[in-house]
Amino acid sequence: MLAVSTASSSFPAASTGEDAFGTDRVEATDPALVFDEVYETHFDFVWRSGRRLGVADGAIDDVVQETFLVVHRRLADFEQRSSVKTWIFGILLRVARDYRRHTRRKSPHSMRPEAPTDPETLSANSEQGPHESAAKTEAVKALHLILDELDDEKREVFILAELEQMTAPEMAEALRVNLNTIYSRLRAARQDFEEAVARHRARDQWRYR
Amino acid sequence: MSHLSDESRALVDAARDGDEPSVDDRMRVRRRLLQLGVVASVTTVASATAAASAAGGAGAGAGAGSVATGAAASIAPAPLAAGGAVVLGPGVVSTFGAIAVKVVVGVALLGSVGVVGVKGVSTYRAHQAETVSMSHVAAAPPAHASEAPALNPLPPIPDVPPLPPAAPVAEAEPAHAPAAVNAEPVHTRSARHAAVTTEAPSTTELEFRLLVDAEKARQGGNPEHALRLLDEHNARFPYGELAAEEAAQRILTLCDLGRGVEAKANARAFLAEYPRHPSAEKVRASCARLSQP
Repeated sequence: MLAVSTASSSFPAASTGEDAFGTDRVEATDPALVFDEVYETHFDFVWRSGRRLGVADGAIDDVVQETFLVVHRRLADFEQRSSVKTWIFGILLRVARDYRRHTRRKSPHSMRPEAPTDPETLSANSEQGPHESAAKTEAVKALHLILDELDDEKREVFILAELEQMTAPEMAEALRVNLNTIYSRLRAARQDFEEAVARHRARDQWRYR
Repeated sequence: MSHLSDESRALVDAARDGDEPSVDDRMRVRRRLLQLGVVASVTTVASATAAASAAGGAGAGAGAGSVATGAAASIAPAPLAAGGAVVLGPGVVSTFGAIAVKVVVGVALLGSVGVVGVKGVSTYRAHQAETVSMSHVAAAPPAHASEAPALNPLPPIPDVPPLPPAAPVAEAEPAHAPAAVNAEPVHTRSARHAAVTTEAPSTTELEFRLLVDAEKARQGGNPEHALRLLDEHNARFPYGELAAEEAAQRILTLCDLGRGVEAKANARAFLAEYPRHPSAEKVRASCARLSQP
């Protein structure tokens, strides 16, 4: 009878233990780092990144929630040697990887039910007219499908570089790999992306110009 | 590093801001985190309007603003108090208040009330809204002038509000409008901020309305009807965003119906899942009497 077992408990969060998020424990240097502010500032970033990392519509709430729960737990320990944004992205990555491990084998974007991105919702986000919104919806759909074709590491670096426009050092921080790795991974990611775009175009006669 | 081709670049640029969360998305997740006791309030989705009304209404409007994000706001043009006078639309405000008070009282129980003026005021506002609501339903005698909601943060609200001490000025017209969730408030002197949308109500709003009606029914001494509405909520929104609210209401309603055994079973499940839910204290204090989580 009790309808409390909502999605929040259906998400397999068990393996996102504290250890997965680094163990460096240093006093927070900036007492002004208040969770609510961090949440406000980074919510949109976490949300859109989660979506781009392949989290399906039905699970994005859970993933974002879980990410911020970890942020909340660990905020006091956050040493601020990296930026808050890259730190949070690191957490999101782990949560999203867990999610992927526990769920789909296929692209969530090709499986998801119709119309989560209806133009109403999109136009509510912006000042655009319906046509622009529809075009954007198409573009977003295409982007997701193409991102789905990249492997996880390339996808992650591509999102940070091309969509979030992070610098290479920031990406190195967020992904916890060295700069050389970032460069080579990004090169490969772009190449894969191009190929996926070409395939996508061929398949759907889709063209974005 | 190589660069993207024009075509890929165009795609990336076109899609760049297409993954942003909607207002609904923000509200949903925020509400969940609120239920988990992680964020302090439901503020900020409509923070701009809330801030504006807080300033405009000498702080008195902040309550409406803070809870009226999203669902509440679009159900009714947020009832606002201007200059300390409470402006209520018949029916509307009381429904608003019912859930508002749950949320805000929850915050109070979590110990974060009275931190700043705004939060205190907002609690008070919601509290007042509920007293109005009770006066509607229980037909309590309208009392004298409201103690102006003023700026001081109020002390934490008792779990069960005392009988309506003051139905704040203005109309209240209790006789009509028991339904009235969509009723246009008659008096909205400061409707300028009106967070109202004319679009079809979102799922969350529909959920919200059902629960508000259920709460009204329960408080109005009709727990049978309340339970029917909760069942309807459960059937229509089994994974709804307000499922926890529903569960909490269900426990209180079962208590009112004298179905203590079921209440207890539900309470056990509820507290296991939402030990820090804003309504957890109410549940513990209910007939289920589970002092230990």
